Amino acid sequence: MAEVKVKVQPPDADPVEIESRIIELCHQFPHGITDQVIQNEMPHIEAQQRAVAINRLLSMGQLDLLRSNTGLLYRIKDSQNAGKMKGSDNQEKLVYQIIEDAGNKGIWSRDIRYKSNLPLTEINKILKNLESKKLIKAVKSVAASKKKVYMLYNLQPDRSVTGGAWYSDQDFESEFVEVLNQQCFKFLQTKADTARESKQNPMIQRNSSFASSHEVWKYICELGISKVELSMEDIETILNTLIYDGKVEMTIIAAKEGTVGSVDGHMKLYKAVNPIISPTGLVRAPCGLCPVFDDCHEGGEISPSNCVYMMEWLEF
Amino acid sequence: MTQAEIKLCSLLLQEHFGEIVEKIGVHLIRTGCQPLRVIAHDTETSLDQVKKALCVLIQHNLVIYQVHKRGVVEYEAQCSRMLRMLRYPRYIYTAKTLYNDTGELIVEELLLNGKMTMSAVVKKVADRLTETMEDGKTMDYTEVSNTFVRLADTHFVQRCPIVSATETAEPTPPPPAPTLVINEKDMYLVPKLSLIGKGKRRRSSDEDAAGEPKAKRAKHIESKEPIPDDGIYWQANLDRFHQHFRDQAIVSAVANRMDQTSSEIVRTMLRMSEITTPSCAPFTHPLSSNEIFRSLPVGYNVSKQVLDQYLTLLADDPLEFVGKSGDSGGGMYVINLHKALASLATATLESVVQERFGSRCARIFRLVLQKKHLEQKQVEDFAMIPAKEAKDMLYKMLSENFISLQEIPKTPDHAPSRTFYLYTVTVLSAARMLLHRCYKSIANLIERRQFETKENKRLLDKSQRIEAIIASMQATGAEETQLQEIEEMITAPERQQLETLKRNVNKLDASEIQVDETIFLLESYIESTMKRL
Repeated sequence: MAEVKVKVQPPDADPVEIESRIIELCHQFPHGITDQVIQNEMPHIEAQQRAVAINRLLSMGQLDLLRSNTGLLYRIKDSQNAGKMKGSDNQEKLVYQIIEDAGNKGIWSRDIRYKSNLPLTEINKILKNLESKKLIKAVKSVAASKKKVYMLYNLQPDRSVTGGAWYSDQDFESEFVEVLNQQCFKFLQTKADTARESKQNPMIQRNSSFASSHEVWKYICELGISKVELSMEDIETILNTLIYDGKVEMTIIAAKEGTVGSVDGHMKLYKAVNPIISPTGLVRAPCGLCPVFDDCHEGGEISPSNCVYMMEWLEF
Repeated sequence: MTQAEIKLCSLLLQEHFGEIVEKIGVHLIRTGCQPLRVIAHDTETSLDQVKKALCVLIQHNLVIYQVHKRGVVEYEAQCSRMLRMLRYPRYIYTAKTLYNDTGELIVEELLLNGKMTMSAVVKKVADRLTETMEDGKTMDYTEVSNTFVRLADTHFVQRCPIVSATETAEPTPPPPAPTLVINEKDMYLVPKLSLIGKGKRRRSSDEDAAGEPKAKRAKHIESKEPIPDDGIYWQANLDRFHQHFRDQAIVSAVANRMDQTSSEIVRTMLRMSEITTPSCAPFTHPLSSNEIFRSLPVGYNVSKQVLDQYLTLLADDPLEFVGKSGDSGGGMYVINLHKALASLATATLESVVQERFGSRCARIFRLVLQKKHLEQKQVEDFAMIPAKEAKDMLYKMLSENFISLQEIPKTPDHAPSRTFYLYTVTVLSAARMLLHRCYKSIANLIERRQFETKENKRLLDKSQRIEAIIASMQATGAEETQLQEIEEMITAPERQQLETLKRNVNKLDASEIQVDETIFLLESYIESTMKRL
């Protein structure tokens, strides 16, 4: 009797089972898996069956096909999004993808055109479509007021676009900044004055006249003059403007990680200071501030002898 | 020399020395080194007058001479020295604060006469002081000489270079112009004079023995006292005064920024380095904390510990005026003179920007100064000023040359849309620009003062005449009513006008001195920077 060679055929893998295994693998590696990984997991499945399963998943929109330097990657697609795009065609999907990639900074319509290589009219149609479906929104950029950037509907626009706490509806709030400026300065000044009057030894005096940015932030929050909540960085930008006004100086000290207000192991301290010279001699004479200085010479229309500014100044 | 400087020099020369000296001086400034005959020919003045004018200018150190090849003597004007004439009141005032009236008058005499022998100075000052003292008291020569010696010891006055006394074997013909040399060591050496005498009043004829005619007596005294220090001339050492002003500015800056005690410590440190450090050095010599403690003024009860704390604070301050250079002797500290001058010059620039354009512009200016190079967008963000206003302010400052643009092209064709434009402040060029403006301002102020005086010339002449009449009548013993009559010749509105004129002239004078302070700071900074380059 001849032995019938029985080819041990692997049990016919169920295509659905293959797909669900692949999806499980994708969930395990959310960054994406290569073909190699699938092969290692399921060595008994032939390449053709694998390919069929992957293609089905792709067309169903459950997998994303990405290219990396090692080859092709398959990544699980967000199931929510997978549902949304039903009914949109590929072009819209592409544009949506580009906008999604731009994150919360948004992207300009011309940039969308470059990335997708679609003509302008198409782009506009698609953008209108997406907007009506409430998938994306247009945000006016504060930098260039005519420019509109598009981003996903539920994203909060980034600070660089809206301007952050200092802008309300694209308008720079100068009075708000001025008020904060004066309040911070007053706080630092009173601190320096109390330190000076305490008349202790100079080291203690100097150290107590400093205020950390955290202290100033707490003071401003407690004052309650701001409707918008301000972060410590916001207060630091205000304190920087005081430095540029020449009224305040800053030092950075190393602080232990745990101390309140320290960022990355150091703290910024601010102190109110006086200017080092009184207004200089040149500006006390009318010539120092004269707007027609360059036209003035003896014997001309404007000359020192008939200078109006000098006359007023002498009558003081 | 710029036009503004030449204009200012000509105004100063005219005010101090008159038309002819002014003509010669300005001609020399404009044309550089010139021999005598060329000057006479070009200015169309007689040789005699040119010689006299040059004598005056050389006496006051405003013109120097050199022997060139082929034996030609050329004269060169010192424009910067001429501009120092503006600062004479400040020098005299400094001498007054340091050495009282005696010192003030000594320095005044030296400045007004250019060069003088010590005995001449002492005699004249004693006479002047005696005038102002009460009847019966006179000023002793010794006191004046003591003050003079002290001035020489602190280097405020120095000896002028003298003809070197070289003995030559064979009598060679004398060189066309003497070469003057001065030994470093001898510059402040006071000759051993025994000046005995007292100041004389002008109208002291009653005190002398009666019967001797005045002229005979004067000759008699002169021949009795041959001037012992003939040939040793003294002049005021302007560099030393400048050093003093610089120290004052640094001390007041420290006092403004920190407190009184710190400024006293800095003043002590500067005083200790007065003589040891040359005036143009960027750092003083290192001073140990022990030395400073010993040299603190008496009565300043600061313990050693507290002093050390103050010194550490000064060294750590962002101003960086004081630096620590070592740890021996309780800590060695130096004063960073160049940095101090730079900070003062920058503060001057900032103050001018603030007064001319407003405090927001000043904010932008300081911002660009600190961050060195900034784009327009960054300026708006950092300064928290709305974009339109920030742009406007930047362009205004740009047009007045306080700020400059640096272009960084992205493409080789420098297309404007593809170039970065960065705003930056170059302190040196801004300082120079401001200095030029100061010169022109002072020239304007002087002209206005002269104009005001000329306008009211008639009135001034009248008042002078009346004063002379009153004085002579008082001397001959006139009655009260007669004096009243004469005084009433000046009507009330005229008196008012005179008052206004006096007030205006004083104001313009004071303003000149204030602008000169700015000039001093800017010039010191520019000089200090150029030395380091």
